[in-house]
Amino acid sequence: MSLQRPTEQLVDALSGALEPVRPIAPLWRQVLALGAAWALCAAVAAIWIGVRPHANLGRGAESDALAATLALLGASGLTAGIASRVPGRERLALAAGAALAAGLGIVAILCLSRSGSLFEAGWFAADAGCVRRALLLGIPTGLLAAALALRGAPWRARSAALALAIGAAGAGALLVHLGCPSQDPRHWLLAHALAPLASGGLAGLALARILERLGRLGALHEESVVDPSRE
Amino acid sequence: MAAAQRGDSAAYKALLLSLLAPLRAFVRQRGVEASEVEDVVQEILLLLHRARHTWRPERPFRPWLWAIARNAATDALRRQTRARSRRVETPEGFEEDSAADSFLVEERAGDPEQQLASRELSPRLAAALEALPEAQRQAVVLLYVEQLSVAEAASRAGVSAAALKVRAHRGARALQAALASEASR
Repeated sequence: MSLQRPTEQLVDALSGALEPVRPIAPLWRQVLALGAAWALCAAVAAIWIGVRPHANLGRGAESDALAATLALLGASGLTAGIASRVPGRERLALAAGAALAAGLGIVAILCLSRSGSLFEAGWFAADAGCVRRALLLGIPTGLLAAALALRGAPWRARSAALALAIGAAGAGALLVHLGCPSQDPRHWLLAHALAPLASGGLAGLALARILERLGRLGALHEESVVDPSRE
Repeated sequence: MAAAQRGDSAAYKALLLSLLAPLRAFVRQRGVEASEVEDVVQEILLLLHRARHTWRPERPFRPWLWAIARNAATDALRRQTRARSRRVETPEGFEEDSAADSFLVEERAGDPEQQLASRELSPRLAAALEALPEAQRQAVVLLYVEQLSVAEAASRAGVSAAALKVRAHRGARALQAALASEASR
């Protein structure tokens, strides 16, 4: 660009300010770590609410479809969020993002199929309890995912945060769905899917702001390295 | 790149210098105007620097690099499109000021601060500009008054394009805040 500060001078500044960095963990190991966090939550849930997949899988096509969808949302959301922050893994991020969108579409279809009865019965204490448990069980996985995203490239903060938060909420909701003895499809959809996923989406927006802010701070730090005269 | 991750600045510098030509070609291929190419290349270098820890030695380097270049180029193009449209419009705070309007139209050579001082700007705008820190005032004048491109303004100010944009953004916000607080009194 400039005569006074050409790109070559920027190269000088960047190489002059170079500090050693530790490469991020391989993507498969990050996903494995998230799986381990979820497994830990599953162990806690087994003690806390009594996860019993043998009993709760097979209580109806709708329940099984919801369980499969929540599993899809958890795996695809977390993978998409992490992969989107790793340069060169765009295809994986896109594929996982498409799976996440498909999962959300299935939840929407399931909810629309019961749109008449979904909200008319009101909001019960049992609903609130399951939503609370789903979110609590999603928090450890979500926190680890957020930490991994923070270590990634400083871009796509919003989409990464949304995918991660929805994925973590879905992973927590799956545990609740496998542990909840309710036979009411309305409760499954409302308290195991709709409310946790919506809450996850809101948490994702908050996480996006944090990622964006940290990204801006990082950019300003680089600026001060490149241009020490900046006030 | 592995050496750069270990802190070998000579290897890093050699790598970055070897990337300049392909990056310039890549940016041109993306349809960036010739006058903006160096700006975008600098954005890519800054992003590469900030994301250098995300490359894994067992992964190929080029796909990683092009992913960063694509992102930085897309972001930079988006920002430049917005900045251009902002520059075409009269900046906020200048619109009520006929003297400033005529100043925007008039092209003058020489030091922008002297030009500003020589104009009969509204006292409040002149005071708000005067109250800005030197670096911010210069960036605002070069970008919004002189309507230079980011590359030209950065060249004139002797700073990187990114630094100039940060200064101009801060200056514009400070100006808006100053004019708004005066209007509310």
